Amino acid sequence: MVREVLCDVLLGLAVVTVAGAALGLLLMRDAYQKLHFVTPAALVAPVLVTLAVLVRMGLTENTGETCLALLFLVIAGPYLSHATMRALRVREKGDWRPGGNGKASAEEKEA
Amino acid sequence: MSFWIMLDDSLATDELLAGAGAAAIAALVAELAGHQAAVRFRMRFRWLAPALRLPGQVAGDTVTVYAALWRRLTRGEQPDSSFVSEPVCHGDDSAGGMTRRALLIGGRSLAPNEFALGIDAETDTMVLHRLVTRTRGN
Amino acid sequence: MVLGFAAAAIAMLIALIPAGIVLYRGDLAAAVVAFEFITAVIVMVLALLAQAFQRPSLFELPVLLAVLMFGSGLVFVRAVERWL
Repeated sequence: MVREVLCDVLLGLAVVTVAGAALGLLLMRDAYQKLHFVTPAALVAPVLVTLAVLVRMGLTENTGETCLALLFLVIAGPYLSHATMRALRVREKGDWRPGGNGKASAEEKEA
Repeated sequence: MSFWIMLDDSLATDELLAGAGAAAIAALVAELAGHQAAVRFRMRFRWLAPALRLPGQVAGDTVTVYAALWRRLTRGEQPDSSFVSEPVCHGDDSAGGMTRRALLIGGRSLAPNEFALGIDAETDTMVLHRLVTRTRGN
Repeated sequence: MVLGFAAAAIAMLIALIPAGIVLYRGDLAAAVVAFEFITAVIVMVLALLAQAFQRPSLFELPVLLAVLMFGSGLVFVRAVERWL
């Protein structure tokens, strides 16, 4: 009984996190600000879902696969966000460095 | 290989042979990609010690980001996001240096409030984008 | 069927509507961000549905999608940076 209640609480928190992140994605002004709301959905909510699954089902082969999927999200998320932020900056300004003159992106485009 | 076994859920000989083949192809492609990109990997485990602070940082930054969302919803004020630079040692281009920079960028991009764009070798600074720009000190 | 997991999956699918609006109406940069958001949530939805229905064949899809999400996201990001 306690495990089911705890599982439902964790799932509820995960849903609220995703809903809030979706709202942030809609309301923020530019893509840079919107990207900050991808992390709660790609990191915080999967952790809560993983905990809910472990609490309710225990550690079985199937829950292990679920944890693996969510672990990939957690590991890949920061690097995907970094790459996205950098690409958006290069696309807008020509260089991700402040005061950059586009030299970096020009060299990359030649390669 | 272990990933294959976990997905396939079978220890039959032909399945294990297929998994070994797939793992060999994956390792070959990974080596080729690393060779072409001139990227090498060398980990020092003491670099992982700061990672113990990350869960607290993620929790704190999640509150910060949602507080900014709340202010946007209730008062209509946009968060004061900006690009900032912080001093960071770029290091050399050895395997250890590349790994250290990759871990540093991943660690700084984990929490929701800030993302690292890169580490500038010329100025030894890390460029970050923060959703809510905090004033430190004072 | 475990109702809690199914209900959470449905709620997360409904929460994708704002992201869909951004994907449809936003500029290219916002659309890429929305795509990454939607993919991350879909991985969770599939994991939740697999737990809800407890069918072994359903558990592999979120794992594969999580791996492919990283690759596909990087492809879009590279395209946005260089060609689009």
